[in-house]
Amino acid sequence: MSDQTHLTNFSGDKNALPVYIMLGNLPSGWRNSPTSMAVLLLALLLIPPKVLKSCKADQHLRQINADTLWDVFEHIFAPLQDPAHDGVPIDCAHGKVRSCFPILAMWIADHMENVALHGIKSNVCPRWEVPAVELGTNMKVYPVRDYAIYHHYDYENSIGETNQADMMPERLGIRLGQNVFYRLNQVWLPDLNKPDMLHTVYLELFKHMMDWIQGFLKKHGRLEAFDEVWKALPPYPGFLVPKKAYHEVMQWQGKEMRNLGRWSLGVLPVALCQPERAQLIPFKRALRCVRALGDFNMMAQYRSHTAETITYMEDYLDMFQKMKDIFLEFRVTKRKRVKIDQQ
Amino acid sequence: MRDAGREEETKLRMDLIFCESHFNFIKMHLLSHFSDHIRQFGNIPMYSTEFGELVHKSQIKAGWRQSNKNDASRQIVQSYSRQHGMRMRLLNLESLRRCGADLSPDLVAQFDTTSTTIAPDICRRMLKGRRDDVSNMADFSRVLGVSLQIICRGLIRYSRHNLQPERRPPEDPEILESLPLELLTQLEIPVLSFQEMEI
Repeated sequence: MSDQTHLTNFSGDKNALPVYIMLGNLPSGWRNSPTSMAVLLLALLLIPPKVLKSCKADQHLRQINADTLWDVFEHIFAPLQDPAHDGVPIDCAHGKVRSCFPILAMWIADHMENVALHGIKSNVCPRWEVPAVELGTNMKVYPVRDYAIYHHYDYENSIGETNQADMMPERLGIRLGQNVFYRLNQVWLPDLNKPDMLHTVYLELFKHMMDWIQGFLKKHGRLEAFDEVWKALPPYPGFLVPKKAYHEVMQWQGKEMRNLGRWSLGVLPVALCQPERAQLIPFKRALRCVRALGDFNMMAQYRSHTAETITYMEDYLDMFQKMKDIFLEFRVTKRKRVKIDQQ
Repeated sequence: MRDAGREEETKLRMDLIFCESHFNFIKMHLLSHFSDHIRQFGNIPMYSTEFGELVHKSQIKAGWRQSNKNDASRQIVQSYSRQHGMRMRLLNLESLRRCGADLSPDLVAQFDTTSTTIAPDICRRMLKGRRDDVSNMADFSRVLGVSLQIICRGLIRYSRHNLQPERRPPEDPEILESLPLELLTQLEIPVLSFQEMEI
């Protein structure tokens, strides 16, 4: 597990990249409790100064940074290499000695972390070879990434046998030779990457969704009604009441965004009540879209699943993907909007 | 004429907006892995990144605050590993003691003050409902099988800690003994010796 963090909140731009280790076969409730001491700090890496994209000297600096990261992880993983193959005797709690095969089973990190460690580009999925223009399509037809083949291409390139391979990295969105996990024994790289509710759903998608909703409400002149209902939510145990309207709040925490996922669906229908004739269909679609995402989020939080609940989850996701086009016009960034206005 | 021009302009603008914008960002795609991942590896909260942020607090940020900001990363690592080593040692010693190992009396005394394990819940006996043969404290102690002295002591301690002076019952044991039980509606006195017998 690794995650970049700020050391200080106030002075100085001090960052660090701690790498933690924990045992995968502990019960998750126990492993994830901060007092259980199940998580150990394995390494504390320094973050190199930020490099801007533009100039060529910086390109060189970036290559050096990536190589250093690679070397450091090589060093960190070195004690895992042989035991993963041959096993190592480990004392168990009941007093016996067992032959164990420690294997790196997962890497819990947010997407940017995966990008840095897998050596991929930031708009690229670490599991599948998905072209960037099809990221929003929810299809499941893509080949699984095989980092070993990439490495092979890299090798062929380096000894001068150029074939179609020199086109590969660009198309697949990878930076060759920069996957820190590549050399690990007994590890299937695409499976290291784990879904991350906090950063994917709460901090990212809910935020996007709220922006879309705000744009949507503004367009239909319902923003004020929405804010009024938003602020009038009654308190309830385990439920934080919002004191400000959504656009008045500067920053949202993960916990708040999780709460927001619960109440946004309740507020929206009230704000959209009594639509005019032309608004009827857009309102309905917007509601269904928000509902689908909310439901999906709730299902994903389940602690245990049956085949039925997973099907529900997939259905909600499909519904969300189908209905999201209603918000398409609010996806435009400010910069693009200015560009369009100029034309 | 002008209106028509403007209308056309807005229409063009909307078309451009629709062409330019798309949903192809990475987090949108990552959602589609969720269901397969559940099928293969189990529920998602298990792999939460949320508690990592908690770990930062205790392991990294506390260490950073204690350091002198000079070659800080070394100090951060040392600071936590010291804490961790100490806690592991304490836990080990404590489990040894529970197994009945022979530890020095200093150590045992130290544990009694700093023990991290939670004390077992104190068992309580309760007289449920009204009984004809119980009218005062003496009867009460006889029925519950708890010695009168313990009850009196508990009562006095409770009243000293929690009640205002004018509402406190008399502290003389003989008067306490003859108090009608109705005065004491909620009386729970921890009985340690009794609890051990029960278990």
